[in-house]
Amino acid sequence: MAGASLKKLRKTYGNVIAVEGVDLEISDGELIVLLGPSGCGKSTTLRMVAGLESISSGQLLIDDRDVTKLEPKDRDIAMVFQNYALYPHKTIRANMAFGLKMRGMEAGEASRCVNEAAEMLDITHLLDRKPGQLSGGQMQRVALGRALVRDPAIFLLDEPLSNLDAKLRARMREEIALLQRRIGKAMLYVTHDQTEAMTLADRIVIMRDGQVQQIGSPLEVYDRPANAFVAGFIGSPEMNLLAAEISGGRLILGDGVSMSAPEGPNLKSVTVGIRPEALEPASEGLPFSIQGVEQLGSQTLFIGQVGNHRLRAMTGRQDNISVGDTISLKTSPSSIHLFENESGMRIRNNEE
Amino acid sequence: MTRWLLPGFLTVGAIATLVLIVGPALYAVSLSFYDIPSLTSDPVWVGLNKYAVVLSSGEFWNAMWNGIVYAGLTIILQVVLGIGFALILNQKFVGRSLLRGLTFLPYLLPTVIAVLTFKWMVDGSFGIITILMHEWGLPAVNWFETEAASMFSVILISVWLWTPFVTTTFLAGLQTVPVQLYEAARVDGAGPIRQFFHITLPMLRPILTVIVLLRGVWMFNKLDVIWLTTGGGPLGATEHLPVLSYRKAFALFDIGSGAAIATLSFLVLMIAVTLYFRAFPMEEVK
Ligand SMILES: Nc1ncnc2c1ncn2[C@@H]1O[C@H](COP(=O)(O)OP(=O)(O)O)[C@@H](O)[C@H]1O
Ligand SMILES: [Mg+2]
Repeated sequence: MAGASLKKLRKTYGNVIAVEGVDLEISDGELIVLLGPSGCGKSTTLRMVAGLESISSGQLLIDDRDVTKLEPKDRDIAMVFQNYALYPHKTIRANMAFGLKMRGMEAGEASRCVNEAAEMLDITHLLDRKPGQLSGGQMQRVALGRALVRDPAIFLLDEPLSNLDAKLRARMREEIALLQRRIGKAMLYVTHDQTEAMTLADRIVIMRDGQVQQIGSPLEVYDRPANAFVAGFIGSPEMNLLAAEISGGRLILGDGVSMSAPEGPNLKSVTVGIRPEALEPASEGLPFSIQGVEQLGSQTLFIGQVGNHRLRAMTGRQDNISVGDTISLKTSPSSIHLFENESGMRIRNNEE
Repeated sequence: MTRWLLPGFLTVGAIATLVLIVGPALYAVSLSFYDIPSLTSDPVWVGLNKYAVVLSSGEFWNAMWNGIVYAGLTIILQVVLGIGFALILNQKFVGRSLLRGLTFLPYLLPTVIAVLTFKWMVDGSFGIITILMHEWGLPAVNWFETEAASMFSVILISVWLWTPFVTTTFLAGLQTVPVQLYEAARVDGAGPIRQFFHITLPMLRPILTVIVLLRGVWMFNKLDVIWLTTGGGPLGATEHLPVLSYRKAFALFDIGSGAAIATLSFLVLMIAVTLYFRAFPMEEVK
């Protein structure tokens, strides 16, 4: 198997553990997104794969070759940096050709590679300019192009879109996805933006405090989050997480509010997770007093109270419900997630 | 009130410049058109006569050449060594801050002290360098006696004194180069030497341009090291334009010739600086 293989990768700075044993198999052509809040160790993991950060312990294979101790240039990787890191005094053409030249590729051949990559990214007209003359979006394309010409075993990208405005970000996201499918190479992509992760990834690796929380396809982590942290991090708007007691087959939410519990668990107190989009108005159900209404066009987001719990519900467009109203909300038992109170671990229901 | 503030300050500035800079400079230039045997005697107008005499004298061209050699070699050595030290001091190692402080020390020393210390260290009978060289079986060097050795000595002292300026300026410049550029270069497969030529040097080119200009003008006009060590000798081997001008005016009491030499030196510098700006424009096209 080509691609890359991370085996118990670990990074410590003195007493600080930045990354704690990441295990991950990346197959050829797979797009893996490292996702997590700021400071969780995403960049450190990526930089260990790149060779810019030494590996404290563990093993790294790229293309079935042990590269744990090799210099970046000997690892067959290409990297896109968050701030682009283009050489300011070189033309775009020279920027893109630099890596090829350093590897001793003959000039004509290098020029052909650059032209090909430039064509693919639609930056041919920029080749003779310098980075200072480009917009942020154009620099981003050039940074991608510089990685692309190299044709490495794996592409490494560290928050490549975080400096772009929202519109451009969405467009570049689509382009990166298309590009990656087209060239069919492995890609490790770091972001803190769950939308980016959901839309791009073949598989998402969710990290927190240097530890991997869950690895799975976007829908897997959305449908069956491994713990309450993942449940809260994936999905927008955020999943509702409520404390509840289980008694007589019902989830008691307090203040006389209750709902039927999924079969299975025999715990007393749990954390209940319900996605806002899994709630809908009904003739009877949870009494929901509305405190805020956000119209998004095709959908409406309600913010309000159920008993003493704050709750968000996202429904199809509703024009006739306003602040101060009380409606009933229902959800299907299969959309209810349960988590252990202490550990936050998912409690499997009977179907899983 | 505030209406007059700006014109007021400008006027004060202009007057100060006229009185303190332009005035004396013009006065010095004007002296070159007179024959003045001493500062108290009456000047006699001689036109461009002094220039003709100076330009046709061998000692002027000798001094010009010595000045170019002295300024040129000290700049090259200062820049090369300064950059080398800056690169070393930019590495991570124990005691780095201490060493950074120490390397700046020579720059703080008064020239007189440095020169006297050097003379004392190479003293023919009890200088530490003389003794050490003798112990290691090296041939004795007459630091200020032969023509080549004298030039070597004044260059050595000057480089030792003023390299810290280049080191410190370049070291400060190094801190402004984004780390990511070096990381990108590492991924691209460039080793330390290529990183220096492809990233460090181009990024610090503006700083380097200014350093060479400032040090160049400074070294071309620098009097004290040579005056305090060789006084221009032996046989004019280290005499450059400032020493010659000084000697003419204050040792031979030919103030007109001294002023003419100073004026010519100024013109030469002005032409050199103009050419320099042509070759290395300060404002780089982005
Ligand atoms: N050079 C360093 N020295 C000490 N701690 C570091 C260093 N680099 C990163 N860290 C720590 O490692 C953790 C992970 O950092 P990082 O990988 O940059 O997070 P992320 O990219 O997910 O935001 C952070 O807590 C950070 O403070
Ligand atoms: Mg980061």
